[in-house]
Amino acid sequence: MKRFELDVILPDKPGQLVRILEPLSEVGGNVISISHSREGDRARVHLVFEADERAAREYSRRVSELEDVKILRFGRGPGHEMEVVLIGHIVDTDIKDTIDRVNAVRGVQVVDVDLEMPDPERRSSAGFTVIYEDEGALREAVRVIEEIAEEKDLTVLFPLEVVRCASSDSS
Amino acid sequence: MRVVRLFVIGLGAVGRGLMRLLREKRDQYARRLNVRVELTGVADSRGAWIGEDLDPEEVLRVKERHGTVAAAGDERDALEAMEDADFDVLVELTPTDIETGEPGLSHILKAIELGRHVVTANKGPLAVAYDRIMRAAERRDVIIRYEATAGGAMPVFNLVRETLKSVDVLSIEGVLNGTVNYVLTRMETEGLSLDDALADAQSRGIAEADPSMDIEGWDTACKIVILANSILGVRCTIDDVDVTGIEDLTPEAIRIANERGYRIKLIGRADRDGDLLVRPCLVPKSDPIARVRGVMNVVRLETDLAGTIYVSGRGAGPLETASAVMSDILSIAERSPTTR
Ligand SMILES: NC(=O)c1ccc[n+]([C@@H]2O[C@H](COP(=O)([O-])OP(=O)(O)OC[C@H]3O[C@@H](n4cnc5c(N)ncnc54)[C@H](OP(=O)(O)O)[C@@H]3O)[C@@H](O)[C@H]2O)c1
Repeated sequence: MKRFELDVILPDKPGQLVRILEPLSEVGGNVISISHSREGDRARVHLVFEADERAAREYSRRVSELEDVKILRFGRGPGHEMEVVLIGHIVDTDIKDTIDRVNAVRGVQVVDVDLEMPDPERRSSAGFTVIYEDEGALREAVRVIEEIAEEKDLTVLFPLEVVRCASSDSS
Repeated sequence: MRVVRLFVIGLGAVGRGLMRLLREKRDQYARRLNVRVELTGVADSRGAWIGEDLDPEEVLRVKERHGTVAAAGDERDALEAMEDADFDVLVELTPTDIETGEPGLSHILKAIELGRHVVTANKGPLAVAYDRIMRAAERRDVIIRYEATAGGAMPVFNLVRETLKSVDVLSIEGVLNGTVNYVLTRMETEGLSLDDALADAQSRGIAEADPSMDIEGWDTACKIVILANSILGVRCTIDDVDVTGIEDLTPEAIRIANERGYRIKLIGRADRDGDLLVRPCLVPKSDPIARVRGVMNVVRLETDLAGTIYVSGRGAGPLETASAVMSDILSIAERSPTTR
């Protein structure tokens, strides 16, 4: 399975999202993440999914045949991924806000979030994948995550490789 | 035959390990290396014992029976005793204090002032005053060796000094605390909480009664400071390290990391630009650093000519640490013009 992304414009009406998700499951693909933003009376959807090369092409063909749906972009990617683990009072400090703020970084998307909360009194732990377009996006994502961790008193664990690069950058 | 006479301060786990090592291997060193190691003074927190050629066996016996070598010597403190003793190398094995470096720092500076070489396993003095110690040593033309301060029996300083002469080391990184690595390994394999894994480490004599220096990352930070000063030429102290420990780590976080292909390791890192940090990181399971389990340590050296080099070994333990101390003593004996 490979990872693909699809950007489409569709009418901002109930039931529209299903129209583009149905064909994906028909071809055997899996949604990794989906984000939706309103632009006037239309909506823009950014979909990241996993599928075989051939299934992905079949899927984009089916979407292109849907009425009132315009494909802005379809292709492989986004290329790079970074895993991140957070520890602390993740839920109390609003995990949604945390993810939204990382997602707000240009060229960055948070997917595949795991949250474990053994007991409300104790620290919870979360893992997520950050998909990023290029080195610049990665650096900014790391900076924003560090900033949030500091502010919300969370412990953040990055891959060693990222720590290495970050430490040689900052000097 | 060269003779090297030792004054040993500190007869705790490592000091007593050194006495055992002397007892068992002294004759072999004489035959194999043509160096005769003699003991002319020992001291603990309550007194000192000076003599011409003390028997390590006897020192162990007195220490065990009376709790202090003052029983065979007197209650002079180590600083005073040093002035009266005849020795070539001070072996400093007192407890680590990372705020003041004492009492080790005064012992070391005193020995230098007296024109004697120094071998130490004590991180405190070097973590707070590396530069001061080295300058003083240079002025008096004496040698300071400290292999045991980072990575116990695992050779790092001597490896770089002796074997990697042709290269520049660009960065140093690794797992430098056996207690932490043991705790992380147990948390991962048994799903234990940090507290339970620590209690297990204490019951096995791996963790100290107060393991906060280890868990909070300060012990690793000390080692990074000594490595950075010695190998990278970065002048720094413990205050320059950005330190995060593992005190907040949960078994759930370890499991999440595992499922994503990573192990969590407490990493110490230093580079030539003076960036110094200690923090838990996600290390891919296939990385040599991730494969170091239990009390083992590992160091990764990135070099300009020789690529990346990994060294792994036992980071602590009385005999392991004493072996590194003894290697330093023997290397001083081999090169020092002041020994006969
Ligand atoms: N244990 C290891 O595996 C290991 C590994 C690497 C490095 N190190 C370092 O090696 C050093 C020694 O470790 P250790 O485990 O042997 O420590 P330890 O068991 O606590 O022994 C410390 C010794 O220092 C003596 N001492 C304390 N204050 C003194 C003073 N003011 N004057 C003279 N002697 C004094 C103590 O005397 P009393 O006997 O009278 O209490 C004791 O004999 C430490 O700095 C440690 O960080 C240890």
